[in-house]
Amino acid sequence: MIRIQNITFYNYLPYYKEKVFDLSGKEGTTLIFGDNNMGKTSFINGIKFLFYNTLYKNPDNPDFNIYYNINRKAFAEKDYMFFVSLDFTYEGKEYHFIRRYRTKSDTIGSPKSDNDFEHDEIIKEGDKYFTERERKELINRIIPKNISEFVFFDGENVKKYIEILNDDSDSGAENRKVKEAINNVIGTPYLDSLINNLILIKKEYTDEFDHKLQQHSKDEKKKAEIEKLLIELKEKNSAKDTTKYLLAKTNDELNDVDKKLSNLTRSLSVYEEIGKNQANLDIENQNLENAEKKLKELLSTVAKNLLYDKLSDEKKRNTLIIEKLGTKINDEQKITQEIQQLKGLYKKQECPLCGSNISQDQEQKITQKIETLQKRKNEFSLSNEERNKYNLAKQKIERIDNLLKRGNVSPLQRNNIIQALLDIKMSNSKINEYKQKISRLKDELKDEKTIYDLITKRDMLTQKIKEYEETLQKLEQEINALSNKINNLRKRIKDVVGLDILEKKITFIERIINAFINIRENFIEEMRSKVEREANEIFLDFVNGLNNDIARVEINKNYRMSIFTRNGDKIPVPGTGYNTLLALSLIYGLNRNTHLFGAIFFDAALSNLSNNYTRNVIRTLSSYAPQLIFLAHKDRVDINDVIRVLGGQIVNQFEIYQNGDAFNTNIRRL
Amino acid sequence: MNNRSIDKILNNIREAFYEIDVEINQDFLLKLLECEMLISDPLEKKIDLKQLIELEVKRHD
Repeated sequence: MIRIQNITFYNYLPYYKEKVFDLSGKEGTTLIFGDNNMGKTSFINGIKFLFYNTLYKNPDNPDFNIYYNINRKAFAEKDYMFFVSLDFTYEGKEYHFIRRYRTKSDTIGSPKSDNDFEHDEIIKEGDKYFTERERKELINRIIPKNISEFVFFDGENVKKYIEILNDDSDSGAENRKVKEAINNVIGTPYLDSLINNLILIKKEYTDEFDHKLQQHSKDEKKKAEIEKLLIELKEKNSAKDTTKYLLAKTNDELNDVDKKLSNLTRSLSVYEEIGKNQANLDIENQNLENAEKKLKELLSTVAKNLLYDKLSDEKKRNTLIIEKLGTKINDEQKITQEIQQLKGLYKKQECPLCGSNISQDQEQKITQKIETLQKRKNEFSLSNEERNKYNLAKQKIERIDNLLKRGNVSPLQRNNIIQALLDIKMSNSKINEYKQKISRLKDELKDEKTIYDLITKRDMLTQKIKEYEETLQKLEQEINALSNKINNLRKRIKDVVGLDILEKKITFIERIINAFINIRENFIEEMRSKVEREANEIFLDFVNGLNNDIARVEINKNYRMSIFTRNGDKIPVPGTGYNTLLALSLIYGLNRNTHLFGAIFFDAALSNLSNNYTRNVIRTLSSYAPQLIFLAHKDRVDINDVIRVLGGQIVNQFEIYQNGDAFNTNIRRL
Repeated sequence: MNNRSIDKILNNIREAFYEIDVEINQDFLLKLLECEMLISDPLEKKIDLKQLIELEVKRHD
């Protein structure tokens, strides 16, 4: 419980320099009264400033809010420090609490913004200074900001409660704020927070469970995969063994073939020789082909030259024929002439020499000679065949002469052709030689046919060995990869345990959450009922002797209050004054049923209440609060009446006033 | 929040316990609530709440 000893303002708003309210002494009600604008609201706000560092906002310069909180007169006099301090006891311990703003040492001239100020928050218990964390904890313990509405009963707060009384909905920011404050003071947030924490813990368990379940499922998948891989590995190993066996067997076969082949060295050399000769034969065939090609090319270019030679020869041959046959023809012609001469003589019968007539004897001799010549002529006479031959030769010579006129063959061309012909001849000769050799060598190998089979087999075996070796290498790689994969999978298996325990925890925490949800609902209803009871009681005290028709008040789940008459009728729209009473009743009900119990600052506007009601209110509140600081407007509340009503309950009386200076509020203890 | 305040709220909430029918040990539920109210550090609070729950689950086993 907080018990305030004294409150000091220094240059805070209208409080110029240091102004102290000494509240030490007996417990009870402190009455502070004054006119408008004398500093009553600033008093309450000063306490809020002290606890929560709430500053008035500067609408003209948001960077210089302090200017709206510091006393203007002091500011003008260059006294830039302001503070509010409190001496109080709490739980039997004495504390000094001060909140102060002052200019920084390096500020030159008058401050221009909040940045030119430094801020101190000091709480001392005896000589012990509290750390920031300790200060925060202590403030939160004494008057947490979120329930300050129940300690500072100023006009604003009461107005908020009146609003809630007229609004049964959950909407409206102010409504929600007040309801939140009610829940705070009741303690519902503890249950809310606990439920939230339990939900968070449940989520942790659920996440862990899901994670483990997922892991478990992954493990199962991994195990199944390992099984599959092991089968594959077994198959690969089996294939490896088979391949190894086949490789060894093929190597043995190759060794056998090699052995057999080594016994056939001669055959091998013959085979090689055949190969060489065959290669030479191929080369020579190519040479022949080239030579023939070359000859063809030469012949095509020197055909005419070649023809010349042949034609010359042909001309010679035909010339000889003509010469030979021509001689015969000449001889025949000579004999014919001679016969003609003799025949002429015979006709004249005179001697050509003497002109005398020839004798019979002479005539006989001439006839004989003609016959002899005729015989000779027949000898020289050409046969038809010879005549045709002669004529043909003559024609040929004539045609050859015509052809020979057209050109001649150069010696170089002739030599080239001759060389080409020689090459062809040589190639043909060599080809024959190689063919004969190959034939001879093959004859040698007639009995060695197995060598072909062996060589073919050897090639086949070598190829097989190569394939087996490649297969083995591939299998080795696959086996290694599979083994690594299996090992990795085995390493990644977590072997999840504790799923059943987690399931139990989740089920259990769900039951706890449900229990607390029910408890919360029950608790809220219980508290509403309790608050209603206390509010009803005080409300009846407020109206006691003033309105005997009021029977009770009710508070619904939204903390809306209704007034019922003795006949059970509900007053549909309570007047403003009754609403103020209802709001005060609600606050009272909440205070009575919660942990709040201590000093109360009461700055409620009571102008809408008659003197009688005001009297009842002040009396009731004074009797309730151990320390009530009641701030009253001098013109709206009859101070003398209040003093009379409260009598001995008033332990301090202060009047706040100003002597024509709006920035210098003075305090007078009465 | 001082102990007296906590006691006051706890008492109020405890009264709400009797109205409901839960098959969970009420002392255990109150311990959870006390833990929630007394420990200010959220992490520490969660650890303690968890411990309480796990102990209760073990006890049931």
